[in-house]
Amino acid sequence: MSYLSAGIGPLGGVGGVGGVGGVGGVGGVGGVGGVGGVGGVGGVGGVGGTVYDSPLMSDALIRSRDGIVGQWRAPAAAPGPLDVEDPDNLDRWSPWVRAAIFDAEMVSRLGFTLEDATMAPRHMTVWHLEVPAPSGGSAPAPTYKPLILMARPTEDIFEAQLTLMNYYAELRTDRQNEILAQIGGGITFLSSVAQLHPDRTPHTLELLAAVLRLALFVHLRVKQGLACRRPLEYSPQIQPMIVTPAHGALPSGHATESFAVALVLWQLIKASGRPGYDSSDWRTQLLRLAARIAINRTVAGVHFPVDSAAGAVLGLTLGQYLVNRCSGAGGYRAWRFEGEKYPENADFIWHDLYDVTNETLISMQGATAYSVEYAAKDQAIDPQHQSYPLAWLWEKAKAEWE
Amino acid sequence: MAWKRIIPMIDPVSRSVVDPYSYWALGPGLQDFRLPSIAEQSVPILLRHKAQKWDGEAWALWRDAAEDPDMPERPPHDAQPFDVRFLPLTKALRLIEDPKSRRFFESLERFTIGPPLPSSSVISHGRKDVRMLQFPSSGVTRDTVIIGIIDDGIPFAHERFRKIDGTTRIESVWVQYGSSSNLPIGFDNGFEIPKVDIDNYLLTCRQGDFIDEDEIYRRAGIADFTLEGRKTLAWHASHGAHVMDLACGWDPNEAPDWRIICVQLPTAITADSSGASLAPYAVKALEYIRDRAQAIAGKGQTLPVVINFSYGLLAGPHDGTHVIELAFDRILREHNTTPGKKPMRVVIPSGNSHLARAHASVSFQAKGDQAVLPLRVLPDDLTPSFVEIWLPPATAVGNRVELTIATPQGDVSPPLEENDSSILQYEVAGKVLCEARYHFFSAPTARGMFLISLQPTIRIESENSPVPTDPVVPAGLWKLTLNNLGLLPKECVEAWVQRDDAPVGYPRRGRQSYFDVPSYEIYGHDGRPLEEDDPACPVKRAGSINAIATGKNTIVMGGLLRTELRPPAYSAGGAITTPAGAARPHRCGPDALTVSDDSIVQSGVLAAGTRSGSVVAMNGTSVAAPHITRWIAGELAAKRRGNRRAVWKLAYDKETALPPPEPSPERGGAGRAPLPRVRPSKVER
Repeated sequence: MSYLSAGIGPLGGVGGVGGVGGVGGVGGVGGVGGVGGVGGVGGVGGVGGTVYDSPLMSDALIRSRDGIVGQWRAPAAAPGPLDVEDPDNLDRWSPWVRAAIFDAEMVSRLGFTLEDATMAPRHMTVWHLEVPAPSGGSAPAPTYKPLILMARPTEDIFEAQLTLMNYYAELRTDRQNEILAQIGGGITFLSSVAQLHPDRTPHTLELLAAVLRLALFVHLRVKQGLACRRPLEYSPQIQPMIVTPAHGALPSGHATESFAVALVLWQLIKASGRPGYDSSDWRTQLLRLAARIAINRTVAGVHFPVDSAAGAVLGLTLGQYLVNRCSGAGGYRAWRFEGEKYPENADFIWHDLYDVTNETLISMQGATAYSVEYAAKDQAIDPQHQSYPLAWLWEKAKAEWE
Repeated sequence: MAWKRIIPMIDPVSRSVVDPYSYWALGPGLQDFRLPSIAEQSVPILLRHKAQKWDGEAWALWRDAAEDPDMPERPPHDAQPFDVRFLPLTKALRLIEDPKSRRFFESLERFTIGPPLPSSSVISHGRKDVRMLQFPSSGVTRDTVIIGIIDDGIPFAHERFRKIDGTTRIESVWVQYGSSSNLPIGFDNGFEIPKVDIDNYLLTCRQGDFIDEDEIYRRAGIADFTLEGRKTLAWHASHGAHVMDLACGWDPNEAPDWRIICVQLPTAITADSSGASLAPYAVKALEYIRDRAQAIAGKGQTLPVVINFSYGLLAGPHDGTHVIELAFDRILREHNTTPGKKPMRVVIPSGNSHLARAHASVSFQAKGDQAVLPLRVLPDDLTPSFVEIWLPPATAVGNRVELTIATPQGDVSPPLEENDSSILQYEVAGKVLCEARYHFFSAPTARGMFLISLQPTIRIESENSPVPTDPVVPAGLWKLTLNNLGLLPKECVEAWVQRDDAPVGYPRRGRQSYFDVPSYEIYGHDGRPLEEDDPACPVKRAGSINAIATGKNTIVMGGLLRTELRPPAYSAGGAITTPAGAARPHRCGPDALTVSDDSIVQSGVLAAGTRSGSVVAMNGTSVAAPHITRWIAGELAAKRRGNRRAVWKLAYDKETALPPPEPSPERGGAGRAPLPRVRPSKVER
């Protein structure tokens, strides 16, 4: 499948496939495409597909060959086979091909369960599959490790949050441009903090697109599981200023995606080792931006503040998980979002959830502790099982910031 | 469906004292005056006393109504000429209607009701916790100047008001609404944010090194979306941020010792266009700044103060006797004539309504002459509309002119006479749609006024009902006809439509009604809006000056286009009305003009948005006023006077170097005084 990579389409000749990019708009991931547009590189795409595939050009190629081909001879020397499962081969493929490979690497290691009705409240758990390499032709034996548990808030919480929705509506005229510009996602806004450009940072954009797809797969699967109604289903007076998307409310996809991408982007630039990028200023600004994108969805009338809180927790967890998998870490931190403990009239305050100085989600205490670590210890993953395509992507992207 | 003449049940003594708007606000207009869906509401009442001393019996009645155990049983000896207190709405009504209140009203000149606050925002004097007055700012110097800002959307965390050490130059902010948990000492409503709290917010509301202004305003309860009410500081720009930057914003590295005292007016009142008076809030705001400045100076010391109040009304006496003008003038005069006190100045904009068609002026050649003022009432106006028709002073009580009103459908009222004690009401299905009354304002106004009040032209709902049940009036032309019975040709009747428009950034609820006469030319032959009046047309641009900007001691500023060096079309001016008993008016119009726009095409000037680092363009005489406030602060810091005369001199001096035409004194006062840019708008190449 090429669909989501189409967002970064114009690069490397995906031009023809770019037409599928419209699909990206659904999840808000399509926003990556906006960055592509900045480059105006679309013409290059022509080399990849359209021009070669035109009847004129193929006819010309046929005639041209006919004119010069001459008598057939066996080649003097063969190039030899490519190595199997060789990371270097990834350089040879189109970005959309790689995107499918990355997706397989990410999604094939995820599992989803909806807890049965015996457990109250209903919740979904997302699992990481730790898969040791099998030997002697036997089937792999994966181990399921928790990644994030998400429990649905009570109806009382959603109903109480309607008041906040009404108060936030005051800002609609003030935020209208941003809200409309962010309907498809917020990558262009991230690129106003860290310089993203298809010519300058093509692999970073591939990485961020992969993050967005990971976030998309997970939040849509969780939304399907938790099945939370949108605000306008509770009150005829919400009257959102944009069309409410046809998927569940919690967790907010915009919050999940923007926090995941913000986290991965700053971890990447920090890992590059360039002086300055280790400053907390960069992550603060990226997180503020992610929070603003999330809050704008509340202003617009399509998300409760609790949706944003859930999305932020999910996005930050997924982002860090992906960074750890890419960079060969020995473990990751699993998390729980216990929606039923969310204080009824609480707003979404991102810095209550994340400690920007220590770079960690804050494990809350007490009766309203709705965001807590899953277990005191990190979930161990064996660096030997690391995905080499993801590691390849991480290293390529990191080099763009050094 | 009929007009009626009614003799009101209210005692004539209280009638003569109570602001005539109050009868509408507490009567047929109550549903628009009350805050929706809040059970307990309190209204501020501004009293203006007749004598310097309280009468004992009047005091007892007042004390009884206020239900304030903190009020002494005996009247205070040093009674201020003004007093503001909050009463529950129901008590205020009872006080006015109860014939036993007569003695109380007899001791008053004015009784003005302001719009309500939730009773939870109000604590009367006696029930307050005792709290230490905190002024931790370090010692004042010879260079210290106090700048007072009365506005909406005061960005107290903004870097433009910080010192180089990162602490704020703001001494305190009084938020006149919201929680009453931290009342300013000596005041009854809202809460105070002292400098120590702001400095603490600036230190603690951070991620890493970054100050989080969203978090500061959330914690302070100003932009917390779990709380009700408008969050002006959650917007990218606010009136208060822009005005305050122009008045006293500095780069922290360059900031002189200019300390700031702010008053955030109630947001509901800022948005209000129900005709209720801002007066009690404005007067307390000025007293607050005066008192806090004194506290900062310390015992036996005094500091120079300049206050910017960028607000306006359209209708009023326009002779310097609006209740806000009387109070401001009195406070300023009292302060500035006290030996040893450093000066206190107040700056007010001249208003933006030059082309609003909200002013008409009529005189009659002969007895029996008639003048018709067609009032265009617009559809989709969710708020009431008001017209004030002011009569010239009379030497004896008589009936020199009478008013009749015709509805758009042609229903003509019986006449309402000068000195009429009856009122006119237009009733449909038992509900009052329109009311007209005559009110005589005692000295120093000493003139009579017809007040015409109209219901909104549309309603969305009513309290406890999803469909509107309260009355609306038909939109269209309401004809106000004046019939001359004895006015001389030199005696002028002046009419103003009251302001009914939304302030910057607020959703529009009201729509501005205007006088719609065919002879009024809007555009000239060149297609531009005409800024000069046709003497034959009763609707006048002249005299559209802000109705609280005709006082004696306030400094009033009109607008100026920096590039074209002429007033922008909206900048309102005089003439003002000659006060009763005076030979001539005490001012022509504004004191001078200063910058309100960079040019016609670059309308507005640049100044701060609500967040540090942001810049927005806004225009209006509200923008001109703080330019002169800033200039005055500099003058005061240099130990100069910075008074009206100094502003005139500034304008005279600048005017001599400027190309003609010089604006008329009515429009431009002493002249054009372009002041330096506060924010650079272009890079010099």
